[in-house]
Amino acid sequence: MTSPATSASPTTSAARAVDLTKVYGSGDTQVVALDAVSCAFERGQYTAIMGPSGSGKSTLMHCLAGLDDATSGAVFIGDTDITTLDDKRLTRLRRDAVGFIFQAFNLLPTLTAIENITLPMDIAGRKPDKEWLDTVIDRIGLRDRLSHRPTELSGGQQQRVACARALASRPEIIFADEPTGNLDSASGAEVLGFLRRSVTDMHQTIVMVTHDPGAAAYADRVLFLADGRIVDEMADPTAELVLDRMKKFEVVHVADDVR
Amino acid sequence: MIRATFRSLTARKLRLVLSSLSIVLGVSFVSGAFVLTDSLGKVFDDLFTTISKNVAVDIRGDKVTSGNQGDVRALLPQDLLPQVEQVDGVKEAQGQVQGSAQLVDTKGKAVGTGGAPTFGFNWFDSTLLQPGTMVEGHAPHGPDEIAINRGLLNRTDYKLGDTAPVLTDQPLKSYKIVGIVEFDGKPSFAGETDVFFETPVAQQVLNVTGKFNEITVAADSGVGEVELRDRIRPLLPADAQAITGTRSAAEQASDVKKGLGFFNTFLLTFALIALFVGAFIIFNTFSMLVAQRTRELALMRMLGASRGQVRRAVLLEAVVVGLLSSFIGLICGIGVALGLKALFGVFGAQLPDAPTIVATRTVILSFAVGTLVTAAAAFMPARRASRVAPLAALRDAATPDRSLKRQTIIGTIVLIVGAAAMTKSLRDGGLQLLGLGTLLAFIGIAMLSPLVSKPVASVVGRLFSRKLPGRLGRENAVRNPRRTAATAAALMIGLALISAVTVLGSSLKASVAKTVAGAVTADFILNTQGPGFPDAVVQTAAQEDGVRSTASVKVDGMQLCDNASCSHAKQVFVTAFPAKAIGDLVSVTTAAGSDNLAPGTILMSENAAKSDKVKPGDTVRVQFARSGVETLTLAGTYKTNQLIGDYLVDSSKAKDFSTQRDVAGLVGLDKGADPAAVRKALDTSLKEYPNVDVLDQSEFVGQAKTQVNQIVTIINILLGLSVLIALLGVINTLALSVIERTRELGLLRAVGMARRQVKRMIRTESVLICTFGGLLGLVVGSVFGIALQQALKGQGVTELGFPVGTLVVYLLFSALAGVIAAALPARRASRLNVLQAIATE
Repeated sequence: MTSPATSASPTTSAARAVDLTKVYGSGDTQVVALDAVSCAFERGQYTAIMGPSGSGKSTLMHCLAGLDDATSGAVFIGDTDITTLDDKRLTRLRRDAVGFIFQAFNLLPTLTAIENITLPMDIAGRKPDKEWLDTVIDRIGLRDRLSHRPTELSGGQQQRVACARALASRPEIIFADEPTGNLDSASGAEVLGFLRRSVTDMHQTIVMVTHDPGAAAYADRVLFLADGRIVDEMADPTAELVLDRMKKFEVVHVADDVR
Repeated sequence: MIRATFRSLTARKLRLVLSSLSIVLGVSFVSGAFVLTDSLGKVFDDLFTTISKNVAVDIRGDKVTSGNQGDVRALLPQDLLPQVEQVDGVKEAQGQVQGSAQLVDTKGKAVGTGGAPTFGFNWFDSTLLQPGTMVEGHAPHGPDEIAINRGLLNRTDYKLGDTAPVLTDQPLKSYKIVGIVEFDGKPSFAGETDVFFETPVAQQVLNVTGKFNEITVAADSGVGEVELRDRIRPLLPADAQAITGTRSAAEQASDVKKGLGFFNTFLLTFALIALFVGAFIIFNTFSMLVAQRTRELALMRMLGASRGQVRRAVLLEAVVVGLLSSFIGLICGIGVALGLKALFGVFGAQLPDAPTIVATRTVILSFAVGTLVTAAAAFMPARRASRVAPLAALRDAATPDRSLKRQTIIGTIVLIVGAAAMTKSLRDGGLQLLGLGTLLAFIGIAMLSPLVSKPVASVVGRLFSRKLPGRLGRENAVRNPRRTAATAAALMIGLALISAVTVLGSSLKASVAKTVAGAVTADFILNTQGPGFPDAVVQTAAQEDGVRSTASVKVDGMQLCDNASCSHAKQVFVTAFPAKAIGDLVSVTTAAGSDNLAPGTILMSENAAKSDKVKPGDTVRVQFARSGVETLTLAGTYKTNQLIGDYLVDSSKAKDFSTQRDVAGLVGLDKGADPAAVRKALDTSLKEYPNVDVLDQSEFVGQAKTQVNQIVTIINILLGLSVLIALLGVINTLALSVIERTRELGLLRAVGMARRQVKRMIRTESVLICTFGGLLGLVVGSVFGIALQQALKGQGVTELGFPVGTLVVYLLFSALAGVIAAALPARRASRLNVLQAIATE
């Protein structure tokens, strides 16, 4: 499963991309979504990926998470080059090594909150680690709502359940796609705070795509994408700094439009 | 709006194809039934027109009664023929003899046709009145020669000049085949077999010595058939009649048409059941489409479409689907007609080759039925669509589930009305009422089924829910009780009918055993399929060592007269066997009076005596086929037994029967005789009568059971069509569910559910729907079956047979059907692109 080349150079990164290129379509309609992107995500680090729409940030996340296949280049989760895996192995990897939080529709309506949290383990037919599960549930603070169906929970509560699910199987890395995009600011802050603490206190690795500078400020560092390339990186971001950086993109775009 | 309708039709091709398939199948069965019976009707029309081409007048006896081989008419005296020939304007007259004659082939088997008759005729040479043409050899002369039709020759290894045994009313005898007959270049009229004898020989072996069955007359040119008929009439004896050739052809054709009409109704019943099931599928499909399109419909309303416009748009969609399906169904019907013919062929009922006739009526009916059923099924969904509030366009697509209360109340009422109609029809008769009642009961049950779908699916689902995919499948199945119930209801109908038929068949079989045990004490029964065997058979059996006594059993029609002239008579069947056999070979349980069948007496079953309002000691006026009205004394009544029949006379009366053949023979053994040895001896001595089987009681029962099984199998195969349609419905529902739950599937795949597991999830949902439908069907069908058995108690279905094993197999088949139905939707679900699925709106 693991190629000799990768196992020879063990790394501390939970995931990394090497010359990752993703091209959609062909000929005249060809769009280069990712253009030889290389980046790494250290264990225990919280990374935000930002960029204007169409910059390729979602594509990057999808490729990193094994939801989309790369046109060329390599993606590693831990030491495994996932671009070489077939669907079966890739599915198993997503199940065991990756956690997901989507913008919306994270939960199965037929399952209760706790069933949704343990879903990946149930799929695998494994018993969840009881102690860890308790820790996670206490952190999201929804112990009294565990037997509720998603329709009986508020949007913020639903997203927190989704976070708990992503954490419950102790994945190598968690990918969050605009996790607060559908939430009001108070609920959003709760979710972001929870993600921050799970990195700080529980040493999880999180990669989050967002377009909200406020959300990005919770991260340890921010990667800026534009036109399928990583154009900048910022450590210890604040909302103001990120916003300033993002404004530059808009200027470029306005300039593009004028030209 | 119309453009929007067509857009939405073409945008949902798969769903359209799946749901319209159900109508296609139903309509193809309707058109197939008509094409088949029309085509067969055409064959017989042509046939009778050809036969009667030159017949100006047909002289025949009055109808006396109906025997088990059809109408029995009085015979014409032979010397009527020369008198008729003398009539002015008669060009030619021919006396005809007709009966049953069966050739025995080189392997010692009686040549049967499985359905079409085995005729024996007299041969007469005539270019005008003889429908057959002697194409090889010559006409039969003397007591040892026969001619046969080419169709019969082809069924055997004989060739012209060979000698072959022939079964007639007389003891078995061999004849030399001296001629081969064709009809207009065809080997037979309609698949029958014909044996021709010289006229006196035919009269003797077919038991009409000195008589004719019919005299056909050709007219001199310029003489009209009506005119000639009127000239002939004064010559006729009191019990004979003359009709024109035209009328004769029409009568014969209409007799056959009546038979074909029954056949057509029989087939149409299954077609209508199939369409009824199809209506459920359409209803379900349109309900789901409307639910999915709530936003789209609301947008139309927001943009100013009226309720009527929305409703009409949905209905128009249904009409287009209906028209298309009807068209395809009509075409497929021709194939169905061929398939049905082959099916009946497999079960031994060979139908004649026929041209394919697609009558205008077939086309109109197919379109009307298919389109109406589709539109009617879409009516409720269309109404619901028109009630979508314009604001729904802005809300989330999911609409809250409506309360089941209204549906429950209406369903209960419909069920009660249906059950009442069924009860009434079972008590007082009336097949249409029974059909209507059943239809209503099914609709009622279908409306009530959402109430039980959730608990049943939850309980049954426990079997599958040890692992997560199974549990999710179960959750999905109970998620929309209405949809699950409607999908399962379609399956329920087919399974209920199949179960009911099975329960009834099984009851019939149980009753047969009881009936035989209650009526027959003989050690062996000489049984036959077909027109019976001559007395020689029982006489031969009587000669065997170890045989104590024998009895020949004959059955014929009898008129039960109101008055001395017997002008108002009730047609019944009468059984004749030797009085001394009662208590020896046959047991009747006396209810009143005696069981002594002395000369001049008759015995009747309790039921018959009750309905005829007579009691022992009373006299009854009867007329046998070949006797005048006579008065018999009712000696006693006995407990009704189907095998014995309702009216019993002594064998001496059988001389007045239209047939002298035995339908069965009974053999009793000496005390201490070895049954196996006697049987061997009987088998040997009766070898030349291949149409006779020597059976002990259990074998006899077994043979009767086999016949019941065959009928049950044919009916269940035809009902299988509706099960097939119901499965299309399951596929359709699952396919729609997969589409609706694309995002869920995407999420499951994203968090690590394997394709295999996705498939298992869909499969569980499907198996649960099918098991629910199957269970419901079994319960409903068992109730129907038991009700039918109770209602038919008086007709001899005294025992209830409840085939638990078979019913369990049906249930397992339903579950298996679920696995099959899930195959395509599951494949589709497992192949979903994860990213696109998650991104789906």
